[in-house]
Amino acid sequence: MTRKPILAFEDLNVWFGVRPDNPGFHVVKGVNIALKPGERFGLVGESGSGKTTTIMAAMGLLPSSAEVSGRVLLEGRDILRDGEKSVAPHRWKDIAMVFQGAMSAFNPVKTVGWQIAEALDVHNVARGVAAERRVGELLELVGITAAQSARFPHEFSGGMRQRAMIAMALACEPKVLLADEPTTALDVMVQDQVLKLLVRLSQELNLALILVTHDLAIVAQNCHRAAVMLGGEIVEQGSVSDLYHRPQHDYTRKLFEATPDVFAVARKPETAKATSAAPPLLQVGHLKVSYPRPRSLREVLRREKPQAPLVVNDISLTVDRGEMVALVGQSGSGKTTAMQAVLGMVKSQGGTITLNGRDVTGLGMREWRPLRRQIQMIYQDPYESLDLRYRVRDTVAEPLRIHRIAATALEREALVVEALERVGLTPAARYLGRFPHELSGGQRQRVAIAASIVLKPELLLADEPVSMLDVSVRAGVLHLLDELRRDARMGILMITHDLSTAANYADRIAVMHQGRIVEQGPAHQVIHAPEADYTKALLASIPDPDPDPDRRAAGDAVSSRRQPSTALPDHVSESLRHKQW
Amino acid sequence: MSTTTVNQAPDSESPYGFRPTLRGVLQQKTALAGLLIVAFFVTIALISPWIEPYSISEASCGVFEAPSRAHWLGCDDGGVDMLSLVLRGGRISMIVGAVATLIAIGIGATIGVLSGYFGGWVDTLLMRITDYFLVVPQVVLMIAIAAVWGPSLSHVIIVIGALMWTGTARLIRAQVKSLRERVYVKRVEALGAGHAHIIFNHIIPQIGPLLVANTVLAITVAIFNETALAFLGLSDPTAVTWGTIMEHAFDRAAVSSGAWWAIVPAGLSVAFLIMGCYMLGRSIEDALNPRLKVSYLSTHFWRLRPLVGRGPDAL
Repeated sequence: MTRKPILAFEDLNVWFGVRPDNPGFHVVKGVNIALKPGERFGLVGESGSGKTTTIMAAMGLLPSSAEVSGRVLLEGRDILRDGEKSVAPHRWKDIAMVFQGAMSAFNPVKTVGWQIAEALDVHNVARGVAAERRVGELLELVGITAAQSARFPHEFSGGMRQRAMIAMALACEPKVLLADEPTTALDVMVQDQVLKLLVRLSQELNLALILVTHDLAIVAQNCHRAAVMLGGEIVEQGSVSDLYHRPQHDYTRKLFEATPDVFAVARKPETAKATSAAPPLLQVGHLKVSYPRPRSLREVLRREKPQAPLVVNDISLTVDRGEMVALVGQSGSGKTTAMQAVLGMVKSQGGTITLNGRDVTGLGMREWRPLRRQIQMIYQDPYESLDLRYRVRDTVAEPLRIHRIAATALEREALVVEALERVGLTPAARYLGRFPHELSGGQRQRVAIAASIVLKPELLLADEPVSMLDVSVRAGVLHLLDELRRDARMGILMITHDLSTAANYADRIAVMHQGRIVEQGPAHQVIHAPEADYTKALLASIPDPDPDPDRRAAGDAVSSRRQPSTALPDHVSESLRHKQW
Repeated sequence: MSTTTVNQAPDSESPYGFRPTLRGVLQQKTALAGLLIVAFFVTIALISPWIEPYSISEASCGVFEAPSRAHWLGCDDGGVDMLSLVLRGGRISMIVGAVATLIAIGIGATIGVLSGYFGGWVDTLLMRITDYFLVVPQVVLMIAIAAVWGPSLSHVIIVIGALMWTGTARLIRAQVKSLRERVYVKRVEALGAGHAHIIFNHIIPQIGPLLVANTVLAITVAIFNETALAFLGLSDPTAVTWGTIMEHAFDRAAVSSGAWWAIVPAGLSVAFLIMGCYMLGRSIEDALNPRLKVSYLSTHFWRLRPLVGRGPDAL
């Protein structure tokens, strides 16, 4: 592999917002990367680490507030030399890009074929009948039949759209393909297919590929080498095997710890579960939910009920005190709807929901209100779930005011401080007066959790509580939920699409598919002895953070250096777990 | 709670909500110009009794006397000093404009919030009512009502206020509908908060700035309508407003006798006041709408920082 690099970044720096009186923000700091033909390179980092800006610089697609220094060499020629003028001829012809959101990258009013042909036309590759034929070839290359080129983007599924996006990127036979989080919005199984496609194309077409992602496991499975970015700098670079087995930088280690191996971490059921006679905290039986559309005139006249497909079709589950149940499934499988029904925000079509022995099915908003103290919800995106005009103090005190708890402002403040300290925002006085925009994502989610637990609920519903957070703060928030479950004996029903999170923290896992629960059981059993085909397929599509899993002997007790507790024999690890508590 | 809305942190670029700052609004030249014009007219209206050179109820010169050093803007058909009349005329125009606007904004905001927040049949019902008011030709109805009820200031106020709320209602409804879907509103609802709590604590503070902009813009329409109704003789005939000044002049054939000074000063005053309000309202609206700033559509490109070795000798 002594071939000359096809693409090289040499001491690349990018500043944003530089003005004579303002040094601006230095977002990319001295990045050096060299890429050989056919090589797949992973660029890993959290949001704001400068990874996307780095590859955008190679495309010359930076906003006008940006200032660039350094060189980007394409086959040894500096394409940044004359700014936009020298980048433009190479854009798409030599360096092409797959964008993050495939839906917004397509024009919704033109067919997919037309849009790929447009790229061919703009770059003078092919026109007319020739272009049509080439579009067909490109689509076949990514596994879409040529006949589908006449369809519109919204008629494609998310995975197909991302494939079409890749076909468009390949239109001018580029030498380098830049993929910016190509699978972030996709489900695990579709993600697996898209990544396999990228790897296949890179091998068949000798394409150099830069894969920008926050998920180390994806890089480990699909790339030769990788670089870890933090605060605009590359903190570590090397082969994926070296990064995994011999990480030099603390940050790399932290990132790997945040993406645990699903099989290694699957929880064993807790010992000696107190099986009291009290009814379970939450019991859902044969729940059915659909979103009825408004009745058409004909249906009104014939007095028919509008038929709507069941989004949640006959699911049953229980959550006990001090237990975390994970609801796992693809987007669209009905898990959020099921949770909304449990919360009483969506009307159910059938079945029963019993909270603390009380049947709450079909209660009106007014009857629900006093019950809300017992059941609280944590939302996915802490940037959306807080009112930005509210200080932390007011956000956390709001539930108290709504339920008229605490007679005086002083008492209320004491409860607020207690809740903030409970979620790890200490000293609370430092956070009370802040606005959400003065907090980091992880802190915001903690504030949202504090506002939920200030009422001391018995049941917490968490809808993907960490999926919008950066990888390195996820563990902290999940640990917090685990503590609440353990210490405050809250029952937690958590939605997640990430089986390894579920395996790591949940006592029991319920796998949902197309509105039904296809498998339900203790976490350990669902992961290690899945029964449903869907669960098996789901497990098979999770990327392994270990780049060479085959080297790891099957059944080896010391399977992974990073997970000492799970590597120990079961009884030892179990006792360790208790000691930590 | 009391402190949250007052001491807002400066974060006008927040994409999540409207957060215009006073400074952000005043940085625009049109806003400053508009504000100065409005402030000028308001000041004059307030101090007019003390700065009027002559009485507005007694004749101080000849009929339609041309402007002179003693009477800068000449006199009207009754020999009353024109400058004094124009200075005084703004008072009632502005009072009518402000009160009518408050009525209109009050009705519009209430209907908009209720309709946007509750949706469903409430929305359908209120929006159908709004549609009916929207298709009615407003000036014609105003004339009809003012004619039936008889000329009076309060009638003018009610007529303008009761017909002008439709635009506000639709605007606020659209805004509230989108706020209703925000996650934090859902979260507060799941906390067990009542509708009143959500509306007063989370919805209305968010649409507040929008209401301010809408109010300033509505005042322009209200003042214009008031002047138009007064000119048509449907306002209180004894009140001195810019509209009645022009009406009197028109009735007494000021145009045919070439007495332009009896019409033009009052007309220009209305025009300038409306322009001032409009400029101010538009500027607030622009400050509210960050989507108008689309930097990525600009034709400027990113810059290169000079590099040692860059240039012809670089490979």
